[in-house]
Amino acid sequence: MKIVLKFPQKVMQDPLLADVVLETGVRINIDRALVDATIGEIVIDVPDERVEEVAEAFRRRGTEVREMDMPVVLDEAECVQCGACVSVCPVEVFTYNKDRSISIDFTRCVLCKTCITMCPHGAIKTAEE
Amino acid sequence: MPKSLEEINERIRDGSVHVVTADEMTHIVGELGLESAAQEVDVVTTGTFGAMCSSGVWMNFGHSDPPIKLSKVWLNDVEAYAGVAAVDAFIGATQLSETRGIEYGGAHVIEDLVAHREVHLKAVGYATDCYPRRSVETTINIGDLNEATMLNPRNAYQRYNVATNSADRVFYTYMGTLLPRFGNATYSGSGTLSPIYNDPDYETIGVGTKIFLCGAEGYVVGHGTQHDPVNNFGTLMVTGDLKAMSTDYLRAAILHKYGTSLYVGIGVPIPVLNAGIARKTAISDADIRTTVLDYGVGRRSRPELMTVSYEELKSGIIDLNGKEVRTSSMSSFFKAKEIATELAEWIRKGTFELALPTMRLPNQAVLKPMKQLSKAPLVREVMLPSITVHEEISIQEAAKIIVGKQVNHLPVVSADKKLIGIVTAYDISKAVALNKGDSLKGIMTKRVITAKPDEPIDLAARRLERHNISALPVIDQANTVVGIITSEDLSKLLACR
Repeated sequence: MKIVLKFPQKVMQDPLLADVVLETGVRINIDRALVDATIGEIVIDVPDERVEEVAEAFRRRGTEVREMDMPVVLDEAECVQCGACVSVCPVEVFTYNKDRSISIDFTRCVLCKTCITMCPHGAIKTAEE
Repeated sequence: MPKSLEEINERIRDGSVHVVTADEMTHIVGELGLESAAQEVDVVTTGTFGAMCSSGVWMNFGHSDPPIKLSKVWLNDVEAYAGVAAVDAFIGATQLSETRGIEYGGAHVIEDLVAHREVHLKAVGYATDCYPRRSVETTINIGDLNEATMLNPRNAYQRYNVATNSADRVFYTYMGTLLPRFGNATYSGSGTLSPIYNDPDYETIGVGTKIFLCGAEGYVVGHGTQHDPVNNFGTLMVTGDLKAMSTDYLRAAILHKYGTSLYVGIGVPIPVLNAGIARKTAISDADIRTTVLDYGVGRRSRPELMTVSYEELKSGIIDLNGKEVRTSSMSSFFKAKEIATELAEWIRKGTFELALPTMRLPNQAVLKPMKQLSKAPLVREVMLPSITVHEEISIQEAAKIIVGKQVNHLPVVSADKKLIGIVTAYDISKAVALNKGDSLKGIMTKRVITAKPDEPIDLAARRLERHNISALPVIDQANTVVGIITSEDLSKLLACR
């Protein structure tokens, strides 16, 4: 499961990820990390059965934790099943079915957003839009 | 036993016609053999659904009171060509909105019309005795137009090249986003369902052939522009009534950082008149080969990297000289199949009969490049000799050279004359102001953006613009500086063109 960690400025200096990994022993995968002057935001992928434990370890360290919502959505009325999205996605969210329609598994998405601009029909949008 | 078209139309009328889609025909011929398949099957339907930029619509708006002769007209701020009779105009798919730019274009106006949405019309004219009015502004929908006739100068490309990108940066093209260092490859065309590939000798597709066009009945006007039958890049010019079309088979598209285009759905029925035609309609994805081109090179002749079949392309991965490259289709095979199936249904239901062409299409035309009176100048022809400096010299020495030679850029070279960095007058001022370092080594930019002597200057100019810099050292294959090209020199040169 993917969870979003928001670090307030005061804990940004601390090696929180490393601490949590050492404490829990859970192998965490970093999907995306954004750090600027005011905030640090990291999206991590955690095995489903250890999510609670990992989330709790981060919370204790002053980190805001939330489950990642469906990051991008498909507007089915606009999609023409071309598959332009297929080859630009780094984590294979999109695959061709046997009849050449497109299967989509947004749970793999790391929100690189390349598919959003690649789609000639504007059929893929971020959840906020 | 050959059949006549009249016999096939008779079967369409009495409901006994046997219609299959072109991908099914491949299997049928495989199972039954040519002769039986030709006997058994009467019509093979083909289909394609993809970006076809050379598309547009002729419209007649009717006359206003007092009347106006349109000299310029805009629909939702997209200009349509009005250089014909008073209230006729042509809107092209790739014309961009003057207010929204790449986000909205002629293709969107066409889709809005088909979807029965209201469209804002603004026009100006010069007053004459018979057309005294100078401007008009109104709102129209497709029902308000006297005619809305789609006329697409180039559609249904027989096949298309595959696009990939060797360069170190992303390329945004009409073939979509091409990731750096062969990160992906994109292709277009419906392979086994390709209309022209199922009749490559133009025996049944010709002037007047009845087709499926965006959900309506349409016709082949003739061969399309850039028709190149010798190299299997044949094209069709097609027409149909926009008022009868459906957004199921017509969609506006935006190709990121490139422009707008129209996804057009075309289905062409091929009457199986004899075993020869049956053989050609049996073509499979494996039989159709196309070339992978490197779009990372901005020249007319893009380097050809390899050839692949549509079967390989559709597998999702091609092997590009040892590297596995993932593929995407820009056109929709799923929709192409839907179109071929829908057309087959029309024929079975007896609502669509076939027509033989009134004239054959050329199968020998030769495609010419643009006649250019002057060759685009090469970097080598306009570059200036560059003053280079050694990395160990002091900042003060560099400043002296900049002032003495009146230059702004100093390429920095190693002892064996290889380019290792660049410093600008600004870098020097900054170093002095901040009292930082004494040798160039510490302040030079190490990742230098360069040009090659045999590139056209347009490519160098685009690079300067993209990186927001003002000079490119020109280097040879051995990374030795052979000159420099600056934006100042380029603008002087371009101003004279």
